Amino acid sequence: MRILFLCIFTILLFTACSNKKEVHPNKDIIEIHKNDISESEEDFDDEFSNEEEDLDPLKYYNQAMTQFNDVLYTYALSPVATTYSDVIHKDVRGIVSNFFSNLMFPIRFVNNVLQFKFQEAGEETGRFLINSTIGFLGLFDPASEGFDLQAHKEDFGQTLGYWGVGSGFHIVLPIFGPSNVRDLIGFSVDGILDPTFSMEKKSWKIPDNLEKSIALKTLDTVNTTSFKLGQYENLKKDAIDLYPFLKEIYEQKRIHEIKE
Amino acid sequence: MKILLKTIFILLALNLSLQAIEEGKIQEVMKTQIDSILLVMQNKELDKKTTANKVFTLLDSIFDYKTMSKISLGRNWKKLSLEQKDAFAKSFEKKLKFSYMDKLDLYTDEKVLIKELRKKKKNRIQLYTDLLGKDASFEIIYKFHKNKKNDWLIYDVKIIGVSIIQTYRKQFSAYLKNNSLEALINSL
Repeated sequence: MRILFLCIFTILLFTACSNKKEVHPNKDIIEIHKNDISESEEDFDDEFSNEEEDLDPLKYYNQAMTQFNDVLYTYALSPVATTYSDVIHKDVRGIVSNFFSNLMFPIRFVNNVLQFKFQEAGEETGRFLINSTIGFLGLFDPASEGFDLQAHKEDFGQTLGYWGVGSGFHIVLPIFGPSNVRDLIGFSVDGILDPTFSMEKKSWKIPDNLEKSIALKTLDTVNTTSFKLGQYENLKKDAIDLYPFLKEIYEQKRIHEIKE
Repeated sequence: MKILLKTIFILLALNLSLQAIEEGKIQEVMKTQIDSILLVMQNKELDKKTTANKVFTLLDSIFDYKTMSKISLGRNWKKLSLEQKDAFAKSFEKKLKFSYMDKLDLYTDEKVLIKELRKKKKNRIQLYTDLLGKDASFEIIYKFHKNKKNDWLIYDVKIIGVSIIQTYRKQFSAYLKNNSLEALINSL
């Protein structure tokens, strides 16, 4: 024990000494001078953008909708998802999540292809075939566990971005939250490919009217939220002003997703 | 014995952190720093405050709070007096630290993978890391700049594409359009 302490002491002493050794007074002065020049050139403005540069024609509507969504989340979605997660076992919720995620295959497949990500599109096809059969209609995910095939999330908003379409101004959607012109168009196009959403009877779509579509979407949303409880509240604490905060996070995240 | 070893490790890490970070050592120093932060966070015997203080000490040696404050205010920074700059920098540093501490609460047994170092300019380096969780992994990029003393320090962190400082910058400039700096400092 004593030896151990002695060792630590020696090591600490040694590193402390080695710190001092690195100081060469003359060299320091020279380097400070040299770096004064580079420091004054140093400008962070090209890396960071300013608020004035943003086009935000729907600012007041967006602010109001952000407040509405915040209340909706806090007093409806979050408590419902909390109760849901207390009642339904995590494994069952995982199955629900797998089922919905497997159904979204057409959206991911088409958008991977449209972005010329053929390998990813191939992996998605493999996943869909494996999970729909061995995985009991997508209830389980043997593709990622046994075959190492991962999902590649792409949506039409990302595809448009990939093609060079700009985001347009920011739009906060009721319930769905932050979006922009480009992603709203993308969202509508993806809806056509979404098997869990349909207003009328179609052979490959599950619901045949709006009510059933809403019911399915609600289950999907509550189930997804049950895995993310507390995250929004935690994130919100960092906000000085909720609307620009969420807007900025959304837009930056989308740019990142498009680049990927 | 285990606790003792942990303490030694933290002490060593702290000692190492007191040294200036040289360019060639960024990866190595960050690996040690992140590992010790994780070690502190995984130690369930410590209360939240002790954990936070230990983590803050580790962060202090690698974060350049002053530069972060400056960038986050953008054009408004130049309009401030020295006292105002100081007051703002102090409360912004506190805000960043407390928000970081809040995030510790979400911490379960994640692991950090240091991927690569990319030199963007002669005085800018980005360190790419992955935070590996149970279900998903997040990319975290630490952005370093070289300061006057030739040390490399972090001036921004990007989490899955979202720059922390950029997000504050947008909020601050929006806020300062209608409010005073004193009000901003109070809201931090």
